[in-house]
Amino acid sequence: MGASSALQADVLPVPLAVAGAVAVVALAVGLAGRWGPLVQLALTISLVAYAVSLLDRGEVDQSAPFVAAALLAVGELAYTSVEPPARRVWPFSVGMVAASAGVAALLLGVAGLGGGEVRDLAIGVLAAAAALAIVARLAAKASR
Amino acid sequence: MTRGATAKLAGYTGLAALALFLGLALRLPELVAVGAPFALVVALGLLVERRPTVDVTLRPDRERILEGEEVELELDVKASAPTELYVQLPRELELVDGSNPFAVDGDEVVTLRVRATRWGAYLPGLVYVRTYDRFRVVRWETRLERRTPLKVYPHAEYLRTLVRPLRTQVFAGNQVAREKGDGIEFADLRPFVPGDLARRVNWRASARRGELWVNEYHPERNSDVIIFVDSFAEARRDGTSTLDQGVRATAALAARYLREKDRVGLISFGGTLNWLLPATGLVHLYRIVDAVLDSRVVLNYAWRNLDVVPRRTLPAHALVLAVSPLLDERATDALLDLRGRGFDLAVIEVSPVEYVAAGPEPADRLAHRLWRLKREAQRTRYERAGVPVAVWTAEGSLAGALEEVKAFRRYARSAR
Repeated sequence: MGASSALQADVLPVPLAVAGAVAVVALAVGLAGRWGPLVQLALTISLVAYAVSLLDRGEVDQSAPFVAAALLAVGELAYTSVEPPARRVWPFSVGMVAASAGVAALLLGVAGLGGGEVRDLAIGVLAAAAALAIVARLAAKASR
Repeated sequence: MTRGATAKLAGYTGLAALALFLGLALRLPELVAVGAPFALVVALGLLVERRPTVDVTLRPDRERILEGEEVELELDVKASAPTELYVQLPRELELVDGSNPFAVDGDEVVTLRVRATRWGAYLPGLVYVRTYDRFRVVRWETRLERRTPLKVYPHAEYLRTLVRPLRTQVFAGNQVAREKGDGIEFADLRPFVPGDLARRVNWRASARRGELWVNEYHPERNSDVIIFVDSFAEARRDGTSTLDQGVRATAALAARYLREKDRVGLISFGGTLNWLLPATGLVHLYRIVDAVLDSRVVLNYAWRNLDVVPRRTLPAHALVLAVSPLLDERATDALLDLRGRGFDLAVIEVSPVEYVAAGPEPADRLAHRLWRLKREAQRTRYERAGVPVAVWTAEGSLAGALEEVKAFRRYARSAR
């Protein structure tokens, strides 16, 4: 993902390549040492690198669903390695990754239809805030 | 059960939040699309998770085994969700078949086969349970106390003969007493006195002497044997120790003396003091073995002498058989004190020399040699007090050590 971000980017290709390399190293060290925070750091760097590569592009990236599916697959595999189950199980189902790609594609389609109107931006802000609130609420419940 | 978040929950929540935030801030819908699956996984995981119910029953196929034998631990797991379990086993119980930790999917019966590598009383069965929700974002953990007693008895040493006490007690037993009385072992002849039974008349002796002479006999009596286990200190190497040998000797001696109808008592003299009053019978044998299974070397700097031992534990005329590595001055002094009080004492020295190798440096070798000389001097101290000390090495047999004690006692008696 780091390499693809650097190749596709119109701005800062070298720093993006470095960020991709850092993400790979962090992931490798995190998996070797079973450190969850390093896995999270690798995923975060990948996400930020992808975000930077999208700057000044001007059009919606059609490969975003694949990026989402790939990132989710990496996350599932990495966290399964960090906290391995006692019995060998397939860490994620093909349906799960396909569903995530589908959700991402759907969201992307909805966003593309809007055309950047103020009304759509407001809906987007509300939807994102609601999603964050739901996740935060559920996370707080989980940590209790 | 304790509920906790996995690293995945924190990671995915953070990633989804970051993606949504950046998507809004940079006006990039692609980031919302990338972050949405992570938020979805977290949301689904938290919505579908339920408090699981897990119960485990642990059943060993035997409660008593011998050192080196194997035992099957059957775990009957009833779980409402896929569950991972880990059974904490003592270091001395080695897993030979089955995997630990292991996972079950619902109700399952899992068997773990373990081998006992060392004698002792164990309580295996502390079960750690962990279960996840379907998306592995929430973790439920608990610890189930399913401890079951498992007693591992030491290997019995082969003994042909025993050291006999100098004095017997008043109850019937298998040992020929020194005193004269009703028995079957011939003791002596004496002139007939009124009241003697006619069947005791020795007609040959009477015919030779021209008057009535009668036979006298030694009665068969039992004796009291106190096994004194020195648990102040031990020498250990490669998983075996002088205390292991001592426990094996104690179990073998107790079993053999009790078979001879003697009363056997136990004093475990060390950092902690344990004792058993002399008694006889099979139940008492189990009591003694169970008591020595709890023997541990407990570090203690308090000075101890025989005053702490209950008086009834050391009956008069009892043979005290001390099993000691003679490493701690408190034990050696207590034994000499016993001898000073007139007890019939014999020491089986579980040699720690084989457990302690001399170092490579000349100074180490000199120190080792001095230590060995000091032990020799200590042994001489005992012999001067009339106490036989038989050295029992790991390669040697206990029977050989007992023969050594018997030879010393024979010699000591004939010299008097």
